[in-house]
Amino acid sequence: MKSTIAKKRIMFAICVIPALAVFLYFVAVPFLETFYYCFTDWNGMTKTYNFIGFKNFEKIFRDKIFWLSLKNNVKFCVWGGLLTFGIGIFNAVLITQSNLKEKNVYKILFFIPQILSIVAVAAIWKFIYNPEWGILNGLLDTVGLGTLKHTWLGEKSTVVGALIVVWVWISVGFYMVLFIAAIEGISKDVFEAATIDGASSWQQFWTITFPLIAETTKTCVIFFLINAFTGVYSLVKTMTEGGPAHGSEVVTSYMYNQAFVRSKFGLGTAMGVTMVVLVAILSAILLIATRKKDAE
Amino acid sequence: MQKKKENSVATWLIRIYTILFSVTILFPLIWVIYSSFKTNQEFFQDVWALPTALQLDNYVRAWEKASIGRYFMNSLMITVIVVIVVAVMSSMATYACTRLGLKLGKPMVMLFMAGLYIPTVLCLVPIYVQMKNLGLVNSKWGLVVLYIASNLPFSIFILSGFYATVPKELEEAAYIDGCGYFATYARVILPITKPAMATVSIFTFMGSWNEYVLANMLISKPENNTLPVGLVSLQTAMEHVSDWTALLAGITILFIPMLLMYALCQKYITSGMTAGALKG
Repeated sequence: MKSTIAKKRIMFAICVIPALAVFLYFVAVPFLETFYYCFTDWNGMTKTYNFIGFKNFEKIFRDKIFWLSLKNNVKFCVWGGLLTFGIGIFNAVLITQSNLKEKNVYKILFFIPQILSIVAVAAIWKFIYNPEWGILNGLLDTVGLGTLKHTWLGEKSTVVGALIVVWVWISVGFYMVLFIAAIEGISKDVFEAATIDGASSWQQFWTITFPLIAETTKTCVIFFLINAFTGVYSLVKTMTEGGPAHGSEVVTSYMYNQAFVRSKFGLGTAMGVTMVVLVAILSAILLIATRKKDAE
Repeated sequence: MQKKKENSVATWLIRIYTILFSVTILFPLIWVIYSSFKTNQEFFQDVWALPTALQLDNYVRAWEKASIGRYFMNSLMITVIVVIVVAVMSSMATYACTRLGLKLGKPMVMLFMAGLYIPTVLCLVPIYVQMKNLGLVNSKWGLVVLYIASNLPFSIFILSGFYATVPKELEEAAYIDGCGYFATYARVILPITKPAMATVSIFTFMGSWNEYVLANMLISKPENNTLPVGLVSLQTAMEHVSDWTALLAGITILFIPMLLMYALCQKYITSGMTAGALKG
């Protein structure tokens, strides 16, 4: 008996240690280290550095560009969220409740942006937004709305909106697939009963579908929130690099600049930590707020 | 009966909307593909027009002059190694954690799954320091290791979900037949978990092939660039030499493998993402 347990332990060690070592060293430790570097003035190159307490955080709170970046993150979160969930749920309801024979084709097509590299997406949308020969300005000219033409990614007033459109274009299909799964989990009988009782599609959505997919929506909103604060980095980086003149800067792109371009590793990590704390607080508020509703 | 009649107009209205929506998704991709066969002159005369002849020369220029060929090979090598190592590592680790009945198993899976909540972007600085200490900055192997590490949590998460559905009796029969733990794993468990391994491998493939942020941070030597990073630098170069059709060819080379993979493995991809997002 003892020997089988020993054998089990050896097998366990052989199987788990390689994965564990790689995971700890390259994922877990760097994450924990951010909470250490954020209290230093390290520049990333010298061997020595000083502990400076909360000075980095003080600097961050006085930094106008940081607040501007955070505001842009909030815009991504609010406008991107409203559009993504509005269109995502709308598409999911259409695809599940309609009589379309080719439902599955749409489900497959709408998901495509999710599988593309952000680099491909950014390149494609740069072609669309090109001020001289881009598809968007061309389209506006053709329909006689030439006055609405813009240097979409080069003007402070349009750049965030232009990026949010791309963000929504990427995200809608993903959330739609999640909502389709949730709606398909609702029993068909419920909808049939409602139809017999004479409930319109609109009423059915608000009285049946929406309450029953609330749980999925909650998970999705938190997922989206985390992404709007951290995931947008790759989009901003590949499309505008935060420009023009910080017009589309988000916290993570600003953080990257401070750390890698200006060699302020300590300050950069402090920004990252601020972000983690902020997202954690927002998610907690969301969870608590929706829990109260459930109790009522 | 009445209901169906009533719906036919509505159904067509819905269909018009869904078709328009499909166009917004597909048209940009189709436009990139057909434009990549035009000459630069044709491209600037009318960006909408179809090519008059298929200019394969764009692909040759992209592949050779713009080094897309080299980047493609780098990406392919990195991706293939990462996919194989992640499949082996995550499968073995999940087996040991969920099937041996040791107390340490469950907390270990939880530890790996905690990794799903760590956003890579926020850890870029310490990751860079870690790589610098190991002398792996600018190295393809550095990227390989990082991609393995970042793909392990999701893979172990998907596999542990699947392992939970495999009945214990199968292994017990193997033990009675005198198989050791390793033989049981290799002969009994591994063949059964093939579908989950496929999901895991597809996701690791997509993740590594498309990855940009880590590669951009770690690699600055042009010869070690991956395809996404190489394409971004090609785009920046466009401001000086405007060879747009070669860039279009490069973009097509980047996304066509993913489209093919999606066409072949669509079910694994959507189900995997759904599972990952709803629990992760």
